[in-house]
Amino acid sequence: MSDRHAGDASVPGGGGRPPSSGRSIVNTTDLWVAIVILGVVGLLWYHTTLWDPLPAFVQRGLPPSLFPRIWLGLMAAMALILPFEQYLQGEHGAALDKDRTKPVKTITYMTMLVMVPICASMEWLGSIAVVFLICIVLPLLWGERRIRILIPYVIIFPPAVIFLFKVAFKVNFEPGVLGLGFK
Amino acid sequence: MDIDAVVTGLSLIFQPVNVLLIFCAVVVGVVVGALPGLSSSMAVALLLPLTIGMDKVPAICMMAALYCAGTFGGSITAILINAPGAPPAVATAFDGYPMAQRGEAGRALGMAAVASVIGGLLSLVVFLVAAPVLASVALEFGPPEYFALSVFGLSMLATISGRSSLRNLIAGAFGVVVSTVGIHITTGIDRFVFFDFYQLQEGVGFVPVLIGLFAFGELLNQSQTLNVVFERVKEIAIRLPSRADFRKCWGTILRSSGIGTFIGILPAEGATVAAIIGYNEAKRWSKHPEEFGKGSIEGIAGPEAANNAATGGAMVPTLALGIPGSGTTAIILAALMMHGFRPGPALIRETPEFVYAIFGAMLMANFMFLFLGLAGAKIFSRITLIPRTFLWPSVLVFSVVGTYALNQSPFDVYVMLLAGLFSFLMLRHGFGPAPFVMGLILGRLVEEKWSQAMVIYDNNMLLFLERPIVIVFLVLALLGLFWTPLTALTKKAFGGKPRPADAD
Repeated sequence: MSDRHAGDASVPGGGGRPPSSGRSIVNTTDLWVAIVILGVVGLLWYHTTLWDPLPAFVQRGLPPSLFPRIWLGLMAAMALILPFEQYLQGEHGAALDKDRTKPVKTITYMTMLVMVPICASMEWLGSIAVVFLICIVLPLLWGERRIRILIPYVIIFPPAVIFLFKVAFKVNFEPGVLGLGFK
Repeated sequence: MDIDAVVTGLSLIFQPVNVLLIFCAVVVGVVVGALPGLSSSMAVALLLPLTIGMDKVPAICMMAALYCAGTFGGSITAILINAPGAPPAVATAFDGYPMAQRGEAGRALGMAAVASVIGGLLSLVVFLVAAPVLASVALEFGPPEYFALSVFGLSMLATISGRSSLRNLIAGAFGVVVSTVGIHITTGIDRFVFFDFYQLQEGVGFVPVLIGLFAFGELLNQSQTLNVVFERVKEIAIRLPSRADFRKCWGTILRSSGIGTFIGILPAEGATVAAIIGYNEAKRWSKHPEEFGKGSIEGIAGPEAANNAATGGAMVPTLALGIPGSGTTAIILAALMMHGFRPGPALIRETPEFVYAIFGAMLMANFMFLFLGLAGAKIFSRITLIPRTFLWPSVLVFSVVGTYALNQSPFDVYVMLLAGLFSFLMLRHGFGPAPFVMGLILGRLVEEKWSQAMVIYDNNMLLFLERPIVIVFLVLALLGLFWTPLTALTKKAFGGKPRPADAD
């Protein structure tokens, strides 16, 4: 087994070193990816065993678990080939690593960590607050410091979007805590 | 051809409001296509919730027009800043940018626009003729034929653009698994309804998943390239291609239009594959192949005619069979279902005027982007000046609000966010979102038709093989699955070299 993908940040223990050009049969990163896929497949397969038993009067035809299990099985079979794919592809195999040789940047993790909770808190914060927060926080997070552009953007863009959906498409936004407070 | 339906369809589209809506879609399409990172798939996905309250016909026509314009728009930035705005324009940059550096940006843009329009128009002629024919053939299909056809569609994921057939197939298979979430139609049993989320009983919504995959996932991807600065061609002389240029390129344009239309008609194959093949064939047939990569005008005509021809071609299986011809048409297919249409032969039989309205919209879009491409190239080249620190937050706002607006449910927003995170991880490891979407959409069809066929044939699948069309599709499916390894082996055996465009 090769450690050529030790630099991949997506691999536990990766430290940002680009992969070496030497070829080995197993690609470590893909091995991890395959393990994750097999884990997911295993979990989903297990879930299919928990489904309610089929009532007798509908037992003609395909059982509900058969179709997903076939595809889960196919996924598992293909995942088993995954670690060897780069080797099997020969000289083309190097392209498989193109997007993952560099570690994921901190700003991407920051974006996930900040924006996902903001967007997911729509029910509590309210849709309008979430829209304003996105327009304020994301540009600042991404290094935007031109306040003279940011302020008009925040003042004009979110109300315009909300107006469009509220008036033109009759969307009732989540009021959230702020909305209830105003009520 | 039903002339009444053609006239009704075109009259639906040529109403002033609809013309205006299509023009807006074309402008948005060109802008989105021109902006690196934003794709027509994303734009169509984001447009979907905006069309909820609209009349069905302009809603779908806007998406079709946006699809055409977005495919062309990518060529503008490919030529001017060497950054293809959309994947189908990758091959255009090979020769477009060197031409722009030589001060021939106008000539390159002009050829891109004209080749795109010719490709688009020729494919629309095929669409007009082939869609009703294909639909009338498909009317004879029973559940086993449909099952085999959709399996063939899924098998084509192995040859879809991307670096790895295996990864495409895994992503497609996962899409099929996700399509099984919810209540099983024939037995009423809950499948994959985790943590008693009752919202999952109706299945995973297409729109939140599509927006998550194409918009939020791409936003995370773009956060990694915030410091990338595009080198811009300063002087854009709008000098149109000369007659000599057209004389040199007409063969390439016609050939690539044919290639693009054919590739587009194949299930799952989209404009990117068409463009790459169009480029390679243009080079192979050229009298001056040595000029390719250094600023050959044929190197622009080939991929541009092919990628736009693929848009018309891709609409044929989408509308006539209900099998998406590309990633973006998979979204249009979802939109059709959302608006209550039944894509497939029934659509053409029951509402032929609607299909001709789409044809009219795409026709109009082609002429509109020809005008916009030639007259507005300077303006569109400046689109890339929009700071990404404002562009992407705006995309996220539309993603969140658009996703929520569909059912006015925060749960959809959670699904969108999850799909976005999943898309980011997938892309990083070479799994494309398009195969996943194809699996998600075709999965339901495969299971439904398989279940029906099994009931009809008393659970004996071998009886399917008594039907010749089933055998044809299953053989094609096997070919689709093993095409890539077979061609690789053949190349190896005969010592063939990889095509230049395969490098990416």
